[in-house]
Amino acid sequence: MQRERPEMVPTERAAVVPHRSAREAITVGMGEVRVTRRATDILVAHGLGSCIALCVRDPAARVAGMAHIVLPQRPERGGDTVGPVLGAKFADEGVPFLMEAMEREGAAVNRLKIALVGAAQLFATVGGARLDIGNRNILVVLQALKERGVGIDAHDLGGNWGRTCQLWASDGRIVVRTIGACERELAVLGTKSTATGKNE
Amino acid sequence: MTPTTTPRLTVAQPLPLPLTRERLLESIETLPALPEVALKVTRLVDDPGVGASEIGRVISTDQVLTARVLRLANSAFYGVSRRIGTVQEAVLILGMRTIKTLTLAASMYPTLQREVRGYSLGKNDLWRHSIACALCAQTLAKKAQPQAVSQLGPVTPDEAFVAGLLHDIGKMALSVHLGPRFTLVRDRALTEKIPFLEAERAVLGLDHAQAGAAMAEKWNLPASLADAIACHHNPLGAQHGNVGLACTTNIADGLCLSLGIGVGGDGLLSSLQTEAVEALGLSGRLDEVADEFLAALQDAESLFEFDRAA
Repeated sequence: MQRERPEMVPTERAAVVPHRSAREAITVGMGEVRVTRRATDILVAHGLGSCIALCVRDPAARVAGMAHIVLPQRPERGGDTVGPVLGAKFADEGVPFLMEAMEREGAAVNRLKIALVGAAQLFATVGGARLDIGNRNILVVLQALKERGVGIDAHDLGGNWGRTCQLWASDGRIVVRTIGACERELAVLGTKSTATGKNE
Repeated sequence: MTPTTTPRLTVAQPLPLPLTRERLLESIETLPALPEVALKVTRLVDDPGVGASEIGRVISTDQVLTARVLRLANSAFYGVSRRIGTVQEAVLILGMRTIKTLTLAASMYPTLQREVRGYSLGKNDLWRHSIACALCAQTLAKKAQPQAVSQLGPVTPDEAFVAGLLHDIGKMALSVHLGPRFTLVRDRALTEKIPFLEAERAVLGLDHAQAGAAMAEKWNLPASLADAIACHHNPLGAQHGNVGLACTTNIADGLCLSLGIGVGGDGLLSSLQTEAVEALGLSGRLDEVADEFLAALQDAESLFEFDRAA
């Protein structure tokens, strides 16, 4: 999903995002899942490359969550998992992990508003092949969502640039900063989801 | 005790184009220098007649460096169950080659933790990218197929670590010249669908890999290291015997960028060479490498957060 790089000029809405200091930014690290009911929380995935920030919100239950998905699937190694277990390290495990965490907090899967951000690609190599983690992440996430009967409401995916993604728990706004370029509001995951970004 | 000589990088105003290696080096009024202690340790470790106590003694002459080396040695990444209190102890427990890499990392920290505005890298971003690449390259050197590597030149884990640590040092020197021309370079890369590095060369006359290699030579670092830095985006172009080292650096850089570690304004407009992956015998195993590397990164957070405690 190759996208036009966003312009350097911030959008009017993103530029006037107010009162950040009154809110609390919760970093969602690589492979982590965060779910919150606190309206003052802003869930943030920093420095997304080929990773995907899966942002979900149930406007009725006022529950928001984010999974920072890193790789499409657990590699077939035949051995034990290496390192600490992270719920969203792999897309095929991260999607149900986030859904279940949301449901435990009172969200209903069929009410969820969903946005996907990230999945950038390394530039094609001389040989024409590429480390295709971003595209494979997209495919596995979409398949896992489809299996649960939910679709996405907004997305900012692909390209060759890094992103930082915020999900505001209060109203469901998704703010995407393209590293070295602009910050803009992609969508609002509200009762009636609105996509404000040009990628939707 | 001698205080650490903090590497300094004072760069003049943007030069007229095209840049050349000589003009770039001249424009850096004070070249970032590796502290003498770090250079000395690097030389001593390669001397078979030198023991652990001598290495420890040399590092201990620099108080600040000693503190940083001990902090790294005690990080969760190295998994030592008890607290290491002296450098001599660290040398005995971790080994001289590990101490060499720790000393270099600790020495480079003041330079690499800086903001690199031309590349939209904030404070600590280049450090995070560099230390992650160093760890990833070390992992790759251990996982590479020995038969494959033997044809490309030997790659030891500590050499791979150092090349990964220093591969983007040229960005420090090029930043001030790139800054005002960033849009020009980026647009060239996007319009012509070429890697950012090629666009740097086309617009500025010099790319960050060439600039980094020039700095490594100025520091009198081994020629194989300067070559790996010069060719980290074109590893098969390295001189015979250095290809393996350049390949580990290229893959580590690509993986770290792909995982979003230290991504700047140049984004992911760089290539991970399929040929490099094949050359190391790692085809089809990159997800496995990425998985293991991510697990190692969990333990390495203390290295990333170095500034808070240093």
